[in-house]
Amino acid sequence: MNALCQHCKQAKATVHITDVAERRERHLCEDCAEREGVIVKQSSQTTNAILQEFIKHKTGLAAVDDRTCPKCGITFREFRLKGLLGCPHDYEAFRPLLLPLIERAHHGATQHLGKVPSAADPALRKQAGLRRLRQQLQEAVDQENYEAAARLRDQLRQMESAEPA
Amino acid sequence: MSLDTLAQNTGEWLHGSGPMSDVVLSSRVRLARNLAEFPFLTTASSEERTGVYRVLAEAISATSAGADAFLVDVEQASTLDRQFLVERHLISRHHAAGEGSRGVSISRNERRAIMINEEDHLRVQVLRGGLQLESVGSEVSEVDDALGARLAFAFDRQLGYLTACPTNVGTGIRVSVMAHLPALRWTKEI
Ligand SMILES: [Zn+2]
Ligand SMILES: [Zn+2]
Repeated sequence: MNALCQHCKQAKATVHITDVAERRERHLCEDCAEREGVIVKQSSQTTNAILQEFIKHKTGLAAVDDRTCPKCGITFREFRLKGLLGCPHDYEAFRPLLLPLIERAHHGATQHLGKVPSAADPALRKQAGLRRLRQQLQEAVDQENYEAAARLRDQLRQMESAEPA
Repeated sequence: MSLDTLAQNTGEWLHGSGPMSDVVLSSRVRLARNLAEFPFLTTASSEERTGVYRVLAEAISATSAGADAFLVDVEQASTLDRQFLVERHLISRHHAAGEGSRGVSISRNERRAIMINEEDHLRVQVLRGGLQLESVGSEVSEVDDALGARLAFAFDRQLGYLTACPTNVGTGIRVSVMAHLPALRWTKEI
């Protein structure tokens, strides 16, 4: 930086101050800086503190970025760069990191309330079946279709008393 | 049945017919699924990719998902054929330009297109003219049920169906309506 001091506009600016509160940068020569009460020692302390914050932030990010899915080997960093995950297990491996993202995409919801796969999990299938039957039963009652309601109630009882899948 | 026969006809949604077709040009529902036992395509080896293709092509042809449909091997298809499929909205640009084992199952009426190995292992699309979201949605659901009864899809109790892109996780369903908007804007309805 070869700019001139913003105050005297004569000497070379060697003190560069970032005013965090006023969000502006000032470039002064050493004389003007001293006159304004900016002590070089103080400013270097500030720089040091900022630098340390920066390093801490960077290493924090690096620790997150280095997380690796044990199944497919993708790192969180690779995901961040591509926007695509490596395998279904990544949702396990990176869960706390992914949840905020999913929440944003789903307007705050992170509990799946929709359809469940029929083949994947017999217990889930049973739950879904029960829910569907209860719904049909309610509809039959609402429509005063008592014959269907009786049949559905029997089915429901049978399913509820069956061994858990 | 081949692409040549398709080229001689026009898909239903291209007729400009269907309920409310003066305003709504088409209704489309898309669904994404992945096989639980395979990695996503970002990290899948070419053998795994071919495995996904084989498993899904078999399941589609063995179920109602493939009824009245034919399978196009997009990897082997010519550039012109791929371009034709993109123009007919039967595959995405991404799918046409992709690499490795991939394909699409297309129903003869062009209503249903099932892409294999696009961003996810399985992308089902049903497209109809006019405003027909309900029938389109139930057709997608039928395909999902038919395939889901044979295949284990990647699923998480909390999050739902797992997709390569975490923003699609959940139902894996995207609904879109292509509408003719000027009239609506004119009357300030939107
Ligand atoms: Zn000065
Ligand atoms: Zn993984």
